[in-house]
Amino acid sequence: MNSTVQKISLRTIALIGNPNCGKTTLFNELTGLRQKVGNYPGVTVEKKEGKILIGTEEITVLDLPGTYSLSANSLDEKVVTDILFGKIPGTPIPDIVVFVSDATNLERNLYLLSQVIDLKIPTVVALNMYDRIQDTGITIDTAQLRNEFGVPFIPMTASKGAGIKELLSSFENIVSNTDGIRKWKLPDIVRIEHEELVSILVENEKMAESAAFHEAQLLLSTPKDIISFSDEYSGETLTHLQRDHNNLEMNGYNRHSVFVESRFRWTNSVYKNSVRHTAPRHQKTVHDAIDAVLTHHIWGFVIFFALMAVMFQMIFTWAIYPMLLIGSAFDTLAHLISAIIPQGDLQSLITRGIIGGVGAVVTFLPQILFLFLFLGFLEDTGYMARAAFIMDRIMNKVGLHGKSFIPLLSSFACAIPGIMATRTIENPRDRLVTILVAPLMSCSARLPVFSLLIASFIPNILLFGFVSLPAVVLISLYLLGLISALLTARLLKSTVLKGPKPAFIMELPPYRIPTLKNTFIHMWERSLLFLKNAGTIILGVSIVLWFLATYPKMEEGTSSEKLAHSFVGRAGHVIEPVLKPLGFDWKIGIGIISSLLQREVFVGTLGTIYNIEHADEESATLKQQMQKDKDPVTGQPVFSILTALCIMVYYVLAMQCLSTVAVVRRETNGWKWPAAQFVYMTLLAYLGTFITYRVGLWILS
Amino acid sequence: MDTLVTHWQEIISLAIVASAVGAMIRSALNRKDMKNNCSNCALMEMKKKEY
Repeated sequence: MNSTVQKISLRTIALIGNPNCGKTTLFNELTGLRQKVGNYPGVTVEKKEGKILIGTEEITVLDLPGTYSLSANSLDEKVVTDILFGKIPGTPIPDIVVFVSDATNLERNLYLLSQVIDLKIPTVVALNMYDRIQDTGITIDTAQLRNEFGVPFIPMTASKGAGIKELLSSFENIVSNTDGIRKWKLPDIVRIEHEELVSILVENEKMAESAAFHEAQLLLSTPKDIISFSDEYSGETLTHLQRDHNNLEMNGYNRHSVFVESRFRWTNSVYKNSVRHTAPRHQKTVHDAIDAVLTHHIWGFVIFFALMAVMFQMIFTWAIYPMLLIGSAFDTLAHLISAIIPQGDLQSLITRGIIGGVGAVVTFLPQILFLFLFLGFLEDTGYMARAAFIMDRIMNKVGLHGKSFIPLLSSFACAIPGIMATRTIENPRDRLVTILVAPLMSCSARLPVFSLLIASFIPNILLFGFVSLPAVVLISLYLLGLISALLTARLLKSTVLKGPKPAFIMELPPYRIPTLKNTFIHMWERSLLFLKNAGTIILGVSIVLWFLATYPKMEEGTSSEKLAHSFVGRAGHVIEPVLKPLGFDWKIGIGIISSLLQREVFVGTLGTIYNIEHADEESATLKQQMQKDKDPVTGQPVFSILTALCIMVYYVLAMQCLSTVAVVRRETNGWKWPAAQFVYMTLLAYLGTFITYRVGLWILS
Repeated sequence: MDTLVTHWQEIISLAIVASAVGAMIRSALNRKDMKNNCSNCALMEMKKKEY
């Protein structure tokens, strides 16, 4: 066998591997970036790019989505093949592939590795999570593996930074590899047909040899009709392909499986020669025992809902003290500014407009942090995948599979990463249904709205002696979002996006103890983002709203009359008839319109409007001002428990987030679906709120 | 001059309002803020680590 060996010039490194093997953890270690990591498959759905300096050279590192093979169909997995074959403009074929493998699960990882090595791109294998192999009772002969695959195997534990130096120094000795390291063997007839097709693809289609080698396997094993390739290949190639198909079938080969089986036969024999099991395989472990409970058809659900109840209880009880502290800090600041700047427009803009609006939103930061602490814990331990597993039966009833539940669970934090996570769903219709219902899951931006209304109008009493009524209301709102999402998915799957019920195969990741560093970094980033929004979007809206609520000026009259005379007051009264059937007054209407941009703006808007309206009174919190607000005509309170519930139902169901609209447009390549989504969610919100209001009035009467 | 002295608070307030409107229009036009509104992308900064 001829071998051509030459030193390569290193510019780009790509991290490739099965899902959930620690690629992003290694990427973060190498580049110093803080990409989100999680203990469930599908955290990375598009390529992420970072830089490292090796010596004086700046090298680009690509973190690619996890995949089990190079013949995968979902959008995230296609990114991997597109990059390896240089199909993405502006992204060169990587000079080195770092194949990240879970050392405790090597057997399954070797299949993809052998496919990558076939492409003849210089490869280094990072045997990640090496510190855990003793626990699982295995020993790995890395020298034997190197001998078989012809590439270095570097033991490492990326989460602890172990083995990184060894990995980097292995790059210095790496050489380009053009000899035939494709050691797996096909049956003779299949091999001859394959080799012929490779030559035809190289000659007729001008493909590189490595790409042709891979493509020929896909073409020979494809279940699709040959005619479906007529746009991509010449008639001559397709005629040859048809002859190959006939020939293989005539000789009794199952062309759909012969390539996979041949490759597996070889990787399994390599595994057997290189890995020794010191403990019996398939022995029941503690993880299995935990799984038996967490994925139980009854206890699984009980534990899931109990965990959710604990989360909401925690959000309400623990977060109160830091919230009070932040609230009083803003009050002190407003008093200080009032003492420095004499009464007038500037004082009003700062204390009532800016502090009233931004302060009202920032007060909710502790609750957001608790939400992310809890969600981070669920992700890092590996519970997220179990939740998807137990939800599979319910998801199947609505025509989706458990895989769709992970994007929905992610949407509890924010719909945007949730919508991005749908890229792991292979079927385009199922993916679209999941995208369309994901924003119905209650995201963290709804929390300040729910929290303000619950704290102001829902009595804080204990139910059954241990769960508070506010926590029950909050969990009911989250459930309303979830149930609406499932029902809408069912409707879509049985009408416009009809399709077969998909089967669900998902790997359950091992349980891991969450790292404090990872959780706190995630919480820190979320708080920065929340504060950034408060300091930009909410600040801007508060300033503009102050102007609209102050001008045109009225010399005489109470502050309430002045507000009614302002632009905001006039606009509010114009839209009031549309909102009256929902039990909303014009101030709530202004809140809803201004929060089309982003949901938490509603709280800031009410903060600014109430502060301006009550300018001639003693200072009071937004909560107190809302509680004592009365309709000037009827003398009835503007807010009641029913009004609060109606507003919350509206916010559960309405879109109210321009960023989500923009992401849906990007993910669906057009305005059709985001427009349909915005319209259906707004109609659903209006209808849901109307029904809640009417039923509420009927019960009260 | 008298107007300036009497209405200084009003003038500064309106200047702040005008700059807020300007900033919002600028941000809407370049739409980057809107897309990068999640922790995964908004907080991604390029850092280099030297070995």
